[in-house]
Amino acid sequence: MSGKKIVLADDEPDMLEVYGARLSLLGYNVIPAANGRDALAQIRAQKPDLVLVDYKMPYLNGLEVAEQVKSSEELKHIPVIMLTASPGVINLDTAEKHLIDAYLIKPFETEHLLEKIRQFIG
Amino acid sequence: MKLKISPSKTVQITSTLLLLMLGLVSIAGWHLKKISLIQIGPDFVAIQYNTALAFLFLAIGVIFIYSGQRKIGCFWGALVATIGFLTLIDHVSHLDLGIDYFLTKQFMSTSSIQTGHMAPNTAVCFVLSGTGLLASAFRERRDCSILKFILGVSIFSFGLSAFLGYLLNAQIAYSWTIEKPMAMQTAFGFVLTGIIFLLPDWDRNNPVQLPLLVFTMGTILSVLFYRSFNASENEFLNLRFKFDVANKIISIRYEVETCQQILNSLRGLYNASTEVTDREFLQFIKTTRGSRDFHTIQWVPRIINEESRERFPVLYSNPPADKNATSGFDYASMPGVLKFIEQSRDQGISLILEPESSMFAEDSRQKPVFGMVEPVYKLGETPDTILDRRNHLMGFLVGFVPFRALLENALALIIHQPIDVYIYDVTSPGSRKFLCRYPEGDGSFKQPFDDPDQIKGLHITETIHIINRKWMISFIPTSDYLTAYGRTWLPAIFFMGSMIITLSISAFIWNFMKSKAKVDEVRARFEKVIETANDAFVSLDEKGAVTEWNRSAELAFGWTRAEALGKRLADLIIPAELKEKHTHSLKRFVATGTPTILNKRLELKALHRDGHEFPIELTVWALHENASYSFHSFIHDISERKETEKIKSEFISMVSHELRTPLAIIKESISIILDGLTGPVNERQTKHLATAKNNVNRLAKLINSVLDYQKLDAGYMRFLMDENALNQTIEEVKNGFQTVAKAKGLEILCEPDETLPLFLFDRDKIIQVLNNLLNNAIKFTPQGRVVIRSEKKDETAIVSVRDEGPGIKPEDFSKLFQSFSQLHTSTGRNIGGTGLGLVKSKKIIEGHGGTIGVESVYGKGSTFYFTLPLTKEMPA
Repeated sequence: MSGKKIVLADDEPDMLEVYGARLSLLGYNVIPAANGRDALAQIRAQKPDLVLVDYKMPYLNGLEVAEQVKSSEELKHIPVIMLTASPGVINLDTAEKHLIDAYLIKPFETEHLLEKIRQFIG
Repeated sequence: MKLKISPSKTVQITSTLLLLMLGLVSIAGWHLKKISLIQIGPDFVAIQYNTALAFLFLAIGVIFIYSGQRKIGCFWGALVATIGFLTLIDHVSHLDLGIDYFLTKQFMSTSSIQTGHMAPNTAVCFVLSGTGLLASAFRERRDCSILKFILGVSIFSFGLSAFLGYLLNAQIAYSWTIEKPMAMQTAFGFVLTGIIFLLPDWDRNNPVQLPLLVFTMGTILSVLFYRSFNASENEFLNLRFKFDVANKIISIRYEVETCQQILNSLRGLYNASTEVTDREFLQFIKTTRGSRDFHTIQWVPRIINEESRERFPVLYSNPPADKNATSGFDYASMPGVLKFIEQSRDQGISLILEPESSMFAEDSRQKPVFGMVEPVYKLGETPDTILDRRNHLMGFLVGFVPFRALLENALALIIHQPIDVYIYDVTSPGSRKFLCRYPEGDGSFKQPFDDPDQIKGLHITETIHIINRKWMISFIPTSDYLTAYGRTWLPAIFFMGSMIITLSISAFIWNFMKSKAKVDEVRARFEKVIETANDAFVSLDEKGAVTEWNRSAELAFGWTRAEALGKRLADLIIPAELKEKHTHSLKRFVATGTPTILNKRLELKALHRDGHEFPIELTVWALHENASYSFHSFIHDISERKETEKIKSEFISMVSHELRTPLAIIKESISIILDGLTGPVNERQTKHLATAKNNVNRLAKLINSVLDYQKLDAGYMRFLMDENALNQTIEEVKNGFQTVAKAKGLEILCEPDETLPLFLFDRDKIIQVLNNLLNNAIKFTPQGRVVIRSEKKDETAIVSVRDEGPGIKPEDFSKLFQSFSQLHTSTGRNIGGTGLGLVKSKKIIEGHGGTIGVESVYGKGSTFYFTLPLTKEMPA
């Protein structure tokens, strides 16, 4: 479990801080990204085991990031979990099927997040 | 400055000028002695000088009054009225007040022109016109205005009826007395005058004016009709009477001549019997007494006395049997008679005596009588010369004829007619002597007329020569005669009839106009209400054509009322995709009476003239009148509201998003501390942090609810319809609640209807509804059980959830499905939640085309149910 790389993308620094802290304490190697473009660069560079991505971000939104990831032969095996504060904006049920592997609506229980992470990367 | 002149004003001014011209032209005609200016044609009556003058004055008065110089106008009005009034007095009193020569001494001597007199109807009209002018001067007074109107109506009616009389050749309409008719241009002048008076106050919608005009016209026509009927009756009576009188005169003359012939024949008889003594003759002619008309015949011998004086003794009593002589009277002693009998002697013919001589008639009861003398000469023949006649005169035969007998016999020759006869002797110039009266009627003389000139009413007086005398005979019809040939009640009955008809028509028009005015007023008010409504009001007929289109509709859809009326609504404001549906549902409703959209508040899309679509809210209702439907709707443009709603929902989305992120951070921060990841946490700290975390959760839940509701309200709900098994879905939901129920000691029972087929519904959404209902049931039921039932009924599935909770008061039923209301009744505690569960459920069920509701007995529990249509096919 330890040393698994997780890209955590969110334009909210506090979000990166608290979840970065939690996941780091749990032993994950958290790579923070402040926006969609950053996130995609980090994913391409670091090849993480999992991506946690916010929906609403500058430059590229979460769904576009997921789209880039899933459209790349090299990256598409990486599970993408979306953490969103705007459940009404996209149809998550449909998106889930195609681009993202799971989603959580903010605020969520830490347990649920960990459950999902464990589901994909043990 | 620009003067605005209304059509009514134009007519008024034109009429006044025409009136002025009529007066001026006619006066000019009189002064220039141009007949063509005062007389329309040779068979027409000329306009009189003072009539023309009065018209001129009238026009001047009108001009003054309408130019504001009321006092001067009054003066002219008074002048006109006075001319008319004095002429009327002239007519009625037969006095000559000289009004006919007012301001002129000119008369036309043309035979076709009657000079001098203004017709009585013209005079009446001038009195009315003058008064009308005076009334116009006090226009601000209401009663004067009414008076003026009535006067105007009368003048107009008189003028028009006279004018029509000329056109229709009905003399009675323009001529009240035969010798004095109203001229045609005068009639036209009064039509103009009537218009001038009527027009300023004429109001087509006034319920009184038209009936009043009709009534006045009708009354005048009735009177004219009555008069014409009467006149023709009189004419017939006069003819008949003349004929009868002529017959009577012939008979009377014949009868007198017969008497003369009898006397003449007696002379022959006397000559033939020279041997007969006087006495014997008297005896003889006694037998002739009473023959024909003679009451008595006497022999008056010529006796020459000692002084060679002629004497003509008349026997006035039969001599006594023992005496040959009798007392007598000498005709010759009466100077008048003497002269008269000498005339008879000299001419050798029989003559009628002076009336005075009848005093010698024997029987006074037979009086009055007249005497007739017949000269008798020696040798029988009448000698050729006067001298011989004088020498050979033997005496006279004197016969007395009672008028009664004469007339009785005379009139017996012809058909009996009840006409009274008065006979006067008028032989000597300057003297008139009443002779007799003969009642052929009922015999009741009203009074003996000494003077035939005093006889009033219908009568004929003729002066005729009878032999040597002149008799004036007056014939007066008795009431029997008049009844038989003359006056009947028919004209009066016809007059009454036509007045009743006039009254009825006027009353009908009045009534009609009154109710029409009321209806118009009410209709105008309703039209105004519709017209000024802020919402568009549109009415359609059965075929979908527009019949009403108010101002707001014009503004909302861009079509003017004129453009929209009669067009099909489908061609105006219904977007292409809804057209067919609109037409179809309209047809179906008209055919079957099945309403689809009636009496509901609907939100639809409408098409503006410029092609853009916009959201509307409308209510449609139908009326069924006269066996056809009409549809009416208020349409409200809700573009703005929709815009606001959109902004609101976007704002709520934004806010909820902005709230979620910090909540997530707070929650995680608390969790990190609480989980001891930042160091040991003591028990009190744990408790407080847990409270903080709970409240973060609560806040998150609230945000979810608000967002959910907003999504529903904005119509964002989408359904993923798929064929599903309802019973299985219910079972799943029930299983999800088993743990909670058990913890509370409740029992959940399922009663599925196994006949329910697979059908189309959004499984996840229906699960939400079932969750909500079951959650509520469990939440509110302290102990007992909750029953979920499914049932197939026709083409619908019914699902009910029954609990044994506190129940709901009926008055609260309606609140249940409203936003943000939660009942905190008997439980007295807040159970938690936003109260949006049922609202959301309602939206979901209605989105499926079903209904949701509740039945509850307060204190015993509630049953929530919903229905779903058993749809099998995907909707197009």
